[in-house]
Amino acid sequence: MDRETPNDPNPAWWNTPSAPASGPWYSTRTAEPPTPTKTGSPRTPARSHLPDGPYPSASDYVTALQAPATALTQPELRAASPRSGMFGLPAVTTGQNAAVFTLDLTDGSTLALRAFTSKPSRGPELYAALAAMPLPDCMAPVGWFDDEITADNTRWPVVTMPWVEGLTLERWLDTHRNYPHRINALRHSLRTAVDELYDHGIAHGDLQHGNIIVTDTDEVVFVDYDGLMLFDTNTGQALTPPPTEAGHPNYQHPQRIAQGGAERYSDTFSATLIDLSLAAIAAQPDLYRADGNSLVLTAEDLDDPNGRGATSFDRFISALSEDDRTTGQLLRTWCTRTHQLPITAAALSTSSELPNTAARSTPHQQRSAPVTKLEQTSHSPASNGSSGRPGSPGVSRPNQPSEPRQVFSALAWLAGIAAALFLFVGGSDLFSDTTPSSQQSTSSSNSAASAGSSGQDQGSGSTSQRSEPPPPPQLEWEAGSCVRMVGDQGELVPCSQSHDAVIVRQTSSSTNCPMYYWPADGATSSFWFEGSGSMSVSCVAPSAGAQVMDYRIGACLREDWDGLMPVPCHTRYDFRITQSANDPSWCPDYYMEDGWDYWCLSR
Amino acid sequence: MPYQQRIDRANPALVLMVLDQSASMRDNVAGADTGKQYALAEAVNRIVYELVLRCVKNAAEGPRHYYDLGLIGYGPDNPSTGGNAGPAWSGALAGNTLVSSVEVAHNPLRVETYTDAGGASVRTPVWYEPVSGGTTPMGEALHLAGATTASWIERHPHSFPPVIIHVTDGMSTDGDPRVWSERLRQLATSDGNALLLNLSLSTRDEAVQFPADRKQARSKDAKVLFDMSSVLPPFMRAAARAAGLEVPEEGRGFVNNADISQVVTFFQVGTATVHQPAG
Repeated sequence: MDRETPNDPNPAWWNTPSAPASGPWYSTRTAEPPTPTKTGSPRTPARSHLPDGPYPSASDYVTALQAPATALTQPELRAASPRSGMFGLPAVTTGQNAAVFTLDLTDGSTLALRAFTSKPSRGPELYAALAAMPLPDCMAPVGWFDDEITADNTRWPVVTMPWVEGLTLERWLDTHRNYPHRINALRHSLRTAVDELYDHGIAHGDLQHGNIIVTDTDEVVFVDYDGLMLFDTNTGQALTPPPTEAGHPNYQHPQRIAQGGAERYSDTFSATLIDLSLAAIAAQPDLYRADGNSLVLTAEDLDDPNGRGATSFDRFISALSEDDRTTGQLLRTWCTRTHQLPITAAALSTSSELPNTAARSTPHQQRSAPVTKLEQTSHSPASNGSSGRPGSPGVSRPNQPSEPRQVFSALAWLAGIAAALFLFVGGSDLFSDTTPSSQQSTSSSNSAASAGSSGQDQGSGSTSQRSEPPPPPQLEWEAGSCVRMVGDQGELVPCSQSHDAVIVRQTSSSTNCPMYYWPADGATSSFWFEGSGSMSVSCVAPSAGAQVMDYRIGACLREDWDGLMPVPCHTRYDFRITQSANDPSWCPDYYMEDGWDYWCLSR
Repeated sequence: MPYQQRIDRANPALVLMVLDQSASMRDNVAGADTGKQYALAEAVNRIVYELVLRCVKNAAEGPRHYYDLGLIGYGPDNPSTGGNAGPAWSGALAGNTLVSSVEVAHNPLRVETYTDAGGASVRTPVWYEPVSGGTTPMGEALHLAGATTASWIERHPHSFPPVIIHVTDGMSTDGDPRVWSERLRQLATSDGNALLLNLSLSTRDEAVQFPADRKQARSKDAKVLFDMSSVLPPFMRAAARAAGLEVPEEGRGFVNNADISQVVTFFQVGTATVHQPAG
């Protein structure tokens, strides 16, 4: 990667000593700055807590850095020159909880110095862990230093990293939106980088235009690690507490914005959104909003993709190539569903093995998971005739994995979808019931193979003639088939009818499924099984027409070992919501919390 | 839930400061030999700079239009309005009540050099100079603030609700200001009601910060300001907590007999938002 080599052997001032090899590295003590300086200065040894604050504001740090020789501690930094900006004062950019300065060092290198404007709750542990672990090329090495900067007569920690030469994604798009080949090269880099993160057990947590630096060679480097999560790559177990911020709403699943937290696959949604946005911009440069807030879609669009956001989504999807369009439709549907990929939610709910993981990483799931998995949500009113087999144990969990290692890779999402397209060549009406306007410019999908992978020739509204009507519905467990949930079981129905899910493809391993899956024959199984080489899994995408259950007065809930979850009232249920409450003590009998409100329950 | 709107260029936020410039502002602020007008000017300049910095998201570009910043002063004759309350920006911005954060960033009066407590020479931008003279026509000022806020809301119906920060040191000389404050607090965007916070620099009463109980406001003047103040929404209480203050649930946006550090805290709480401006 031809850039300012942030991963090269490093100057001493930020290269924190490695964490001890033994013991859980996430609990590594705060890294000590390597160069004890200022004889007699009261440098505390690695300490276990941060100053509580109140933390300085950005202007306090600007004041301090007018005299780096007195404000900073390490010699290399004290000799540095902050780059100047407005009013000839040190240039600073501000983020959610930090002010970032650019320092030119005497050795010719440049450094980003991040000073906190609110208490970084996970700071020392997270950054010490990052400093001690091998990082992928798409990240800049970081150092955490206690007591480095004096502002308001108090010493505060800072995070440093080499200044990454390049442009933020939005600035890059300002000048490159009309160069589809560059954008496509960037898409490739981005996919690779996101997958690298995943392979290193890292979820960035806040992928967005301001945190993605594009270098001269169209490589990407991610910056701003305050929302980052680390995971054990073998067990998937979270090694850091969840961040307090859920990332930029224009790039996150609406439910994650509402509920916070971060999980192993938290970058999948934003990475997919960014990837497809780039594809759309490559095809139609004017789709780029260029407003510094988002690329193509906004939080409002993601929040209501078939209502207020329908027009934006239609334009977005119709700009995509045939390959990408399927992913775009899945993304659209995903917005209306849980942000959690059920396989992992289910893995976490096998909490007899991993109680701490479940409790730490998904706090809302402890009592009443607001998880609306497909199998919980997909009961359409039309299917009530034979639903709810008596005696079936709670909500169906046909896809219960037996171990929690099966988590979803971002690459599987990005690449798997493209591959999936070839498998359901016949399923041309996959989403036709939900997005009529985007279909106007959709060519028949039996030309998928010739659609190619570049998006630049797509989306201009060109329509290839449909030479024959779509094939009749085939009631087989195969890609393109439509499924209705009846009780705990999936039942194939003609796609022209009301259905809850569409089979995206058949595969041998659930890890290849982007969203939901169940055993190929749709049968209920209390344990997950993997076929040995045979196509034994159906990956499905929920149909946008399926009814989404929600917490509301009058809703019925069934108690399950995930907690309470909404079910159609005509099925077996344990509780009904009688009222909402600001205070659980208002409730006469039982109550639950969905992350926002308390709900009173009665049996 | 109110106060959830993110601040971005499509939905800028309004921070309107209404500043007492009456003659009594020449007195010293609590616990210091600094004139109130100087303490106020320092706090205003600091918070204006802070708000401008919040608009800088990229080292390669200037501040963005995330805020409209308003300054209304009252007391001396105001050349712009012909009354005793009016726009308080000066220099190139004189005559404007509301100015975008971009214009503010481009038009400081000067960058001042001063010597800090440790003897170091420090530079800081200045927009607002101390002013004092005349009576305390609080009603006139709040009326102007209301008109300004209402027309801003017409242009930004879905923005984060306006925040009006009022600083005074005394009693209104043109009638009960609660008439005006009540109207002001009823103005609303789709994201919630405008918020009115009041800071008294009066040194007569007991110091109190963000009280929930009206009894804590001892004097009549203080009770009036208590009544005028919005109940702090949770995000402002959280900002107060981050600044080291526990604010009770029904705590009002009211600080009485503030010393210099409390003035700064008051402005920080008043300019808190749920979300930092978009990144």
